[in-house]
Amino acid sequence: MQPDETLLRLEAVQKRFGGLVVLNNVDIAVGPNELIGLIGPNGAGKSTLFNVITAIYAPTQGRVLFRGKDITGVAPHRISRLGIARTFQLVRTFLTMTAFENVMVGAVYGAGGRVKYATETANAALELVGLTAQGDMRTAHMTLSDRRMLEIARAVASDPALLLLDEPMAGLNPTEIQRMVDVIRRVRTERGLSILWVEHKVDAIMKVCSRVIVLDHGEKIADGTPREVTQNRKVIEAYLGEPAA
Amino acid sequence: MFNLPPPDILLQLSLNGALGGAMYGVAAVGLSLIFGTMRLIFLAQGAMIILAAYFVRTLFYGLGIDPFLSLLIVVPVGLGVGWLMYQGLFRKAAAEEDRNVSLLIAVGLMFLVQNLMTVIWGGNTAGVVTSYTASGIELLGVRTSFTRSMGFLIALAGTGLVMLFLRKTMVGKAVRAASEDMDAATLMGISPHRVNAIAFAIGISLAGAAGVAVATTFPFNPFAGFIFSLKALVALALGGIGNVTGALAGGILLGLIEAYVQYFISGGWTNAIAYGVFLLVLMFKPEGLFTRPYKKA
Repeated sequence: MQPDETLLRLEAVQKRFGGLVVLNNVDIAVGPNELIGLIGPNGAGKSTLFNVITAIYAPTQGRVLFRGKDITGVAPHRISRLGIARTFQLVRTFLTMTAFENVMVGAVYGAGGRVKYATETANAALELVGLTAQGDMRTAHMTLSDRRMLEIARAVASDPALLLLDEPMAGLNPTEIQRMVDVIRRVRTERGLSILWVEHKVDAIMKVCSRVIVLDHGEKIADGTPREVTQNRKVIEAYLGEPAA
Repeated sequence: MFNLPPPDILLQLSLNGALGGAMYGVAAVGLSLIFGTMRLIFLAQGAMIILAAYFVRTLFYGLGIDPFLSLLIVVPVGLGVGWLMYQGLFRKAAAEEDRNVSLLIAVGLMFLVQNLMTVIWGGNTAGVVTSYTASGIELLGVRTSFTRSMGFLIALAGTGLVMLFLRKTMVGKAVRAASEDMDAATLMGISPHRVNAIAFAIGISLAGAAGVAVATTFPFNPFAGFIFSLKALVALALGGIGNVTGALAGGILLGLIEAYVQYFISGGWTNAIAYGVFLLVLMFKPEGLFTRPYKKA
């Protein structure tokens, strides 16, 4: 991959909370239109990594580059205008608003305050996730899986180049999981986005992603195709524990 | 048990209570907006109301501008003052996770404004007496004060405009989004400082509108505002924090409670019972009387 083609690049990112090192020397490069799964046991630093990328946390050391520009320490509200959008592990749609209004917030503010084509953008995003019929429904009345879909629509409406998904399948049943997989694939193929996808359901990641990154105790221990990753000794140890000597 | 008074007295009581309570309500709407985005109880709201009342009085006696006409000046000035107040006093503290600094700034501001008013206008009770101050109008078959009725209209109009702004405009939706979840709103490109400043601007302009209502209805002094802040807080709790129409309704309800207590029990009990209701609501229905709680996912 050419370096100028890299969309997101983390360089030796370290994040400490007091004496606790949550991310240590993490290098990650995300290319255009890649779908990358990010897995790791609980406490591996996956959510912290998302918070560093979206500038909620400033890294203790290292840099975050987006489209070749250093974005370490920019104001979090500028992140989405630069082209990074995310969803949350615990869904954070705006419950007092309708589905359409939620997506409009993304289309207007996420895309930098333009109102002109916002309605079209919002409708297209709702269509993409299959929520057109629920546009006027108050989000508080929607099911969890619809809210997860709505979060993706809201993120897509902000016209990002990179989409960060934080456990979009948590709490979904098998049918809903299949629907989610379809939507993630559509977002990638129809919108041409790069996706960095944190997930606990490792089997789904292995089936859908062409590249998988594994974090353990704040360090990147594997980065490769699903086949390479599942055969990696460190990964097996991280998930199953060390073999008895 | 006490005997029920004749219906016309009951109606009179209710009307007076509701009209007076609307003023708590409009103060509470301002508190609600500022609390919504900043999670700050803006204790200086009452002092700002009294400051506006003095401003209205100065416009009247100095320049001969009718108090109700001065709304056209006070409301836009309030917008500007609120915006500047946020940028100058609260912007830095708002970036901190800890809200105590902002709260202390609000308390400091309250004392500063109170004492500045004392220096400028003296500590005595002041008022605005116009040709229509003592006049009354017939409402629902009961006679009531003209200025109180105007105050009620101002409260309704103010709350209505705020509601329209929050529901119909994109900026208003950004304020609602930020009130519900600041982090998610921020990552959707909404600047926290922008929405905080907007909330402050609207909150202070509502204080201005309330100041007009106070100046025309009650005598006031530089320290009268604190009671308004407290009563607005009670109205906010009754109505449900973060609920704009609820805040107005909470104010009206508080006015009714006060009017009934005054009549049926005694004037001395008014405040004790008002604050007692405040505590009971917070203990047993903290989401407010007018909101149905919904489950978060």
